[in-house]
Amino acid sequence: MSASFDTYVERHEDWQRSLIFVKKEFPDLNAPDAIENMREVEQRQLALHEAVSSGSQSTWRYFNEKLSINSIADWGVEVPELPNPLTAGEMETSLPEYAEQQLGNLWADTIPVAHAATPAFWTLCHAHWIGAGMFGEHIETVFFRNPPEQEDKVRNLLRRMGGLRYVRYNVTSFLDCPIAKGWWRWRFAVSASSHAENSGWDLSHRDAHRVLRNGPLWERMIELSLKQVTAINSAKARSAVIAVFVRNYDQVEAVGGRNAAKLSCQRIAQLSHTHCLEFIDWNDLYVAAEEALYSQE
Amino acid sequence: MSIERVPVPVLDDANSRLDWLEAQYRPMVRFGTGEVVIRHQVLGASELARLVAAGDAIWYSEVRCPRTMLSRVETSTNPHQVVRWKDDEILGPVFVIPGLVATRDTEVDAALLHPHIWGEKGRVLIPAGWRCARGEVWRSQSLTVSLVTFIRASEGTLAPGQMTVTDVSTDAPKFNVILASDVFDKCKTNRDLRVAGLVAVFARLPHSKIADGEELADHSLTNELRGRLHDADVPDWDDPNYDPAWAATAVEPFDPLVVETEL
Repeated sequence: MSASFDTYVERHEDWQRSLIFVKKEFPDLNAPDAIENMREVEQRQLALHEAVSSGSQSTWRYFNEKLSINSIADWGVEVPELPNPLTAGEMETSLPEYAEQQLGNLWADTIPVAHAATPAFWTLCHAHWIGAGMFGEHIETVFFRNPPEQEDKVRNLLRRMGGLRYVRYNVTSFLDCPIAKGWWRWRFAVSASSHAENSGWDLSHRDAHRVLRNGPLWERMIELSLKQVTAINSAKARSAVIAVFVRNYDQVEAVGGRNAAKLSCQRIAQLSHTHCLEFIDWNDLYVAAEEALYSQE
Repeated sequence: MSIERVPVPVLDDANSRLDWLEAQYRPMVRFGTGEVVIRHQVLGASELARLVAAGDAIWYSEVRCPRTMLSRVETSTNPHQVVRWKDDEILGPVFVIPGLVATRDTEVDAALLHPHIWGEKGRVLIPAGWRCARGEVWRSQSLTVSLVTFIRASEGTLAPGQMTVTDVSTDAPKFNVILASDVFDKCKTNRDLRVAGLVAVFARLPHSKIADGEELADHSLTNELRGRLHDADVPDWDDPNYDPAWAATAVEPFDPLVVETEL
């Protein structure tokens, strides 16, 4: 990533930290330093709340003031165009299937993966889209999601605009931001489909994508890929695992999405201890992942 | 069709001698900007050299970047290999696993293998994809360096030969290994002293901020550490079977050549 964009990423992380009160950091919540910190955080949260509640232009001004996002031209970063406005209904926990497909196709070659894995990049995009009126004027409905506590509203907004790495670590852009999550999900589906096709299998983008929209399965696959079994990031191996889920979806539902992901991904990881996955026949990877899916019976 | 689970010899860079009696795999890995240079070297295993010459095996380097979910394998018939990546496909540390892989089903003469295990077989089958030689995971920034700092004890605080460990984690896991002056001076040249310090640090992990439910349980460094143990099939600090010495030496093994000499 370019130096100026790196600077923006650091600024973004500092800004997010300034908006979060982390109770664990204060052994005594009644101590003067804890009370003072809480008060300062509340004031900053209030400023964000006021900007967001006042509509798209005030929200845009807020982000520009805090993060200088108007300087994007100097950073060598491009904000992809959002083709249609999105409603609060479409911006639920996940985008609708058609919207994930549309954005995934449209932005397939325009977003570098290093950006797509960075909450700061997606925040930058959302701020620009908000400024362009793509989420209407009720920004708070789309991003705060209306929990009673101000702290929760702010956390919701930070997560949904790109991710909150300070609290949720590296999985955040893949799990917490509907648009980023949709982009990654479609990308995985297309890649799985093309690897399967190379091995003589007919696995459509849509079928692969539909399986990955199983929330618990997606969540566990991401956690495993980023934290524990990085071997599964071999596109070929991941493709075989996704094909297994598509062909055996009843079994996925029977064992549960999280468990299914764990069983098949861990089997692939075990294989990678002794084998270089790129040199194993795709069909053999498929069989290994499929056997694992039924291994608890 | 499925992958058979049959015993196949492996030459690892810890030179365990369980399979290959005299052979050594000694990869040298050097990270640069946007690239890594790998020099593969196998000594005392002419059969593996023969496999390479026959095209039955090839040198490989597996590059992984967990944050962008990149995993790429590049191969070379030349033991001197350079793997490059683009800036925009990498975020955070890059990991490289070097080795030699069988490109198709083949076999090796068992004469150079451990006779108690392989001696009766004459020739041993090697399936396609098998990691004939396997290096450890190399990290663009050392995991141990990120986790542990070795510090010289202040005058008079530790008697000669003593060591203590302090958990100084704030927003990332971090431990100070404080060594008496005489030990600290040797620490720079004696890798096994550093491993001893690491074992002491690992003993603290189950009660540290990276333990399950604690605030750094999901930190990226915690996850890398957990992943390394998982890859090595070693229980982590949240497991009742956790063994600090085993876990520490899975991440940073003692140098087997030094150990053998001293024994």
